[in-house]
Amino acid sequence: MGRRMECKGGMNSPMTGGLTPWALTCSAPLLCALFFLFALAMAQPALAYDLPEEVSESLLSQRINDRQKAIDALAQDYSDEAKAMLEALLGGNLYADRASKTFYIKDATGYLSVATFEPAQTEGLNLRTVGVNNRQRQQLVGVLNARSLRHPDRAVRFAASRALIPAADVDMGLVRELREEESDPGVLSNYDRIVAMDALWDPGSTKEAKLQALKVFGAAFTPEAQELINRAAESDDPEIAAAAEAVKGGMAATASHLQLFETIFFGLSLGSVLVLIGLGLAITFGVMGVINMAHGEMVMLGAYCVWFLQQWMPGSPGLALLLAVPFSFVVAGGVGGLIELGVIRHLYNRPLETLLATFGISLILQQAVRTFIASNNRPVVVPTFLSGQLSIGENFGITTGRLWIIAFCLAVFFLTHLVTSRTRMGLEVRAVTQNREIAKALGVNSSWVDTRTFILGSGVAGMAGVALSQLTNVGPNLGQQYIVDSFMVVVFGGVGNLWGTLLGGLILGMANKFLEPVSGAILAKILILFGIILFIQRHPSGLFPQKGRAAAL
Amino acid sequence: MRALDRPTKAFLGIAFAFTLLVACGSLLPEGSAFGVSRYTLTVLGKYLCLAALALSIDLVWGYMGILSLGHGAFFALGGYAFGMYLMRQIGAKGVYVSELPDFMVFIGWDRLPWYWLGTDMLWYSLILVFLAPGALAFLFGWTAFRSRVSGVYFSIITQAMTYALMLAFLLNNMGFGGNNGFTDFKTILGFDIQSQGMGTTLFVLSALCLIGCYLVCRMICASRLGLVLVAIRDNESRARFAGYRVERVKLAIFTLSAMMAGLAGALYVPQAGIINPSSFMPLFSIEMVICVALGGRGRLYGAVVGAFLVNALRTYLTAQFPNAWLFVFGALFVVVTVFLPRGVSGLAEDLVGWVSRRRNGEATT
Amino acid sequence: MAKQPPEGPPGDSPETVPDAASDFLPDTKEGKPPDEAATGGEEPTPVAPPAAATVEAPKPKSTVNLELLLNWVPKYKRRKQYILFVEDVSVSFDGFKALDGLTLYLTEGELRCVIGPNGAGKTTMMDVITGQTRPDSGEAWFMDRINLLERDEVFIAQQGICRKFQKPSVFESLTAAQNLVLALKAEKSVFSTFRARIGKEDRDFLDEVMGQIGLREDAGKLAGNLSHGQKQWLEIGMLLAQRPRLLLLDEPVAGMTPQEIDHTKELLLGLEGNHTILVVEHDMEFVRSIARQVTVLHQGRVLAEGGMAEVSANREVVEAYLGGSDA
Repeated sequence: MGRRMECKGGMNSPMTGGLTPWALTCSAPLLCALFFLFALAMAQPALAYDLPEEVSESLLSQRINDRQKAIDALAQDYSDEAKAMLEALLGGNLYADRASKTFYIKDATGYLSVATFEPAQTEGLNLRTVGVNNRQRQQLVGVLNARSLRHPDRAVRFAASRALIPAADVDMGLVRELREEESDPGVLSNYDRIVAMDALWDPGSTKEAKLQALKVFGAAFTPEAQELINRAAESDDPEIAAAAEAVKGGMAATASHLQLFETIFFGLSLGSVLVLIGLGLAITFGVMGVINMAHGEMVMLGAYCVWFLQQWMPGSPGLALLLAVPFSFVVAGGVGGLIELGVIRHLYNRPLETLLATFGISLILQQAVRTFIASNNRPVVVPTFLSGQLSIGENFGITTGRLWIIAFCLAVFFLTHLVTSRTRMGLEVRAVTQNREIAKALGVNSSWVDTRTFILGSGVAGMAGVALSQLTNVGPNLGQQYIVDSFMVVVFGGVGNLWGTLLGGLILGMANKFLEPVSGAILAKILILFGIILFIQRHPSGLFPQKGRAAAL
Repeated sequence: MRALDRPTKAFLGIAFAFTLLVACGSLLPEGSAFGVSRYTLTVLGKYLCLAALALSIDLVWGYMGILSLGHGAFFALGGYAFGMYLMRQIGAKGVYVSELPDFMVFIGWDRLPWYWLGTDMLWYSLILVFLAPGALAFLFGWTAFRSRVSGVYFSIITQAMTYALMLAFLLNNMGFGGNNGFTDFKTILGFDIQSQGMGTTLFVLSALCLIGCYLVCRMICASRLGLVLVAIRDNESRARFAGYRVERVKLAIFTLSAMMAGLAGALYVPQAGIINPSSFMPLFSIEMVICVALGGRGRLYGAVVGAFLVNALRTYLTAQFPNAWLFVFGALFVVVTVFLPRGVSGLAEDLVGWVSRRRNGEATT
Repeated sequence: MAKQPPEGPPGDSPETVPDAASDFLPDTKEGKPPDEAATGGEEPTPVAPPAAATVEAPKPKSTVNLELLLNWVPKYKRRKQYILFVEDVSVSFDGFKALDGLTLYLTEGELRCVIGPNGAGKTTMMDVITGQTRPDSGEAWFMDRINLLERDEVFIAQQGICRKFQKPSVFESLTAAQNLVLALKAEKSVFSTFRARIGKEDRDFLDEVMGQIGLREDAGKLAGNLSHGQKQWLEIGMLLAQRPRLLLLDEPVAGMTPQEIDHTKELLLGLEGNHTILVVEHDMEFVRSIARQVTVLHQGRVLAEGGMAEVSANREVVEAYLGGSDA
């Protein structure tokens, strides 16, 4: 989500700058987002291909056999451009203009110039297909297959060789050949396992080969080999059967470790979501004692900000998502500020009435979204950098999206914590939390503190909405689904304590994910809810009780 | 009797007159001038039940100062308890022609779970109507009040309670019909539930339920216990030092209030023709709270007035301007809490007081 | 529960007690030499109650045989002399010692003033007696048989220990008369409260209390609309309606006008003898005008005890008040 960068920036700026706290809270995310965009733009590889003379000549040649030189040359070139050229050659999509000696690749939308890899104007050119013969076509297939297995980048080779494992019809000759050439241990272990699977599968292989193969799987488990190992466990040969059983036992242990790790990871990511949505509430509830039932709608507004920006710049959903972070802060914070000034201001010291009034506001906001935008869910694009998989170890991948959510949550948390603990505003906020009257007497404008606090809380809720837009449907009911959860997090963690919110959210997320496999998702949620209710009844002030005046809320 | 002060007498008079008028009207033939259609009768009957629910909220909130955002759960539990009887009454007349309720057949159960046993008897399900919400309120209140959870914390955990129950009742294998709940009721004690006579009976019963609840609340409020409730609202710790076991008072009133809500729910279900987990939605409970706030809390008739006003407004607006309803309703929350903290009945009392002062002033000068 | 004089040895009957009551009680903390506490005591016959019996106590210098004897009397017998027996109570909040070995004895019918600078532990002491705060150590007995440390505030209140808070706390949306009705001593379970009716006797009693606190005319007014002083009186009236055996008054004249203070003084002096009263007060003038016996608290322990004159002459007390915190 690009948030990590942005928040790093945000965390540095308060230390360095003489920014006013208010400007800080608003501008930090913005600055960071811009910074990140810049970095993103730099990272984008500029595709362009300057063909060597001999290659272009051989491609332009009238004689098909002359292509051989170009194919050989391109096969040695591991750039993406060369790959595109080879694929185009194979598919008959490579066109040439003899007069200008320029080449074009035809795709679904039109022609791309090979020189720049950008859509090109081809009118007035005499385009001819660059043809190849059957033998060359076969060679191209082989080259294309092998080029990733022989790619200079280790990661590419690893991925390509890993992809060979499940395939049933691997060319064992090629594998053995590559295995000889390979020096990287990771890639080698992939080949070892392919060879081992072949040994187990092949009825003609020797007992020693089979034992050796099982040894390989004992060291590095391959899920695809499961079936083969099961079969080996039923083997007539007791030695092989015993070895296979040992491998199975090891596999089960590994699998349960992975399962545990996965559960923890899922728990963390769910917990992060809970923390994100609870954080804003912890600020408003903890500081002002205000129950903001419209908090969920602030989250919803944040999510709609993503949708709005993505509509506005349809070409770049990722950029829109990044821009949505500061944007949602401003929008939700603005709406929150209006609510505070218009309604909550008049209801101080009447917490139950505030609860009802803000609930009314939440109904109005929901209905406003339904009426003025749409009553059904809005599509939000998940940009590519969030939809990838990050593999850890051999058989375990985690979605980058979830990872980013965790990072985003931590970043927002620390940013918020920084604002409340390191800035003048935070000082005033804490002063008002502890003793409003004394703070007033010391010249703190407590009502302005309230307004700013509310804006901050709502803005953070809006940013949580940005994260949620990547996980769930963006619709008018988005906020309602989370309001009870967010209250639970805050009350469980202890009102007025951001660390409590963080820990409380993570614990609840974990507990949920650990319960889910046992009880099912809904029942897990019910159990958690009742657990919290009982906990609150035991410890009315949560995990981290607050001391001082606000505790007597 | 002390309990019969002027507003109570007025309320009783109006309530009996209204009931008599509507009940007689409903027995007139269709289309006559004072006739009350089956539809109107059902709508009014439902209002009466909701008013009783609002009354039960007013007792704990208006008098004792405890805002429960989960009273809808007690209402729904009462409704489900009576709904079980109604489902059993369907018998083999259901789609699957089984003695089991259709949804059980649908999820492949071949016999009733233990908690359904005996629900074919009216008296038992009527006991359940009180017992289920009462027991829940007792357990919940016992743990909450004993550890002195109060104020907004109590409100939040009641909300969590009803939310958790909603999730639970959504589960198919809870044995309560899952998402669809109970519906397609056929008979009560063998009488057709759709008949005009049954409609009138249910309406009258709802009116009696409301009047009964009102009288019970009134008796409590007029007694010294009523003073204790207000004392707890004003200054809980002082009440404790005056020698009252505040937790027990709270628990007793909360449980009683939950039972009243349960009874209201039980009468609501046959008139609405359906009960499903949406009654457990936090929204429903808060709606009822705003009825009390609009009517004026701390006044029993205020809750009834509020329930009628809000629900009449809803019936009208959702039919005429479906989009406007939530705007109006949301605005109602804000307006009532900010500008009308004592509700319309408080406003009316102020007006009456102002007018009489004016009149007295003119008389003396 | 009717009033019941504490069963004690005959020597403890009110006629003989004044001696004991009028002399100072030595600070019984083990660590503190008794003579240090005795500096304030100029009474000719200091018959001091003994130090904590569990301790092989360092005997006061001016020991009389009687005292020696008393020292050997088991604690449960000594308790019988007092309506309130607080011994060696310590309370700490997060490391801060609010009470540090507090010892306090009250005899029936006594009016005792407790003074002390801010943070001396006066309110905490009341919290302990009324069961709101559980001390870390020590003992507190009421009328010899109620262990205050094992009971909650409601039970203690029902036994007749009635407390007025520092901030006037009355039920603001009820009338003054209703406030008194609520406080009225009665069976206070839920059901009997529901069925409770005010009889003739109760009515007369409440009227008498109303007269005592001077609110007869304002009986129908909402308590929230009363003046600050009237609220204080109403709260005292509520205590009286509970037919207390021990009144704990936390700053009864705070925020009152001089006239109101005079009125309160009369009210308290009128109660003296019939009720045992413990007053915590900052207003020295007021204390001087009502006090027979004064206990000075400082940093959670008893600094001095005795008549107002002797206490205010005590060097340590003066130091404590002036802020010389060498203690």
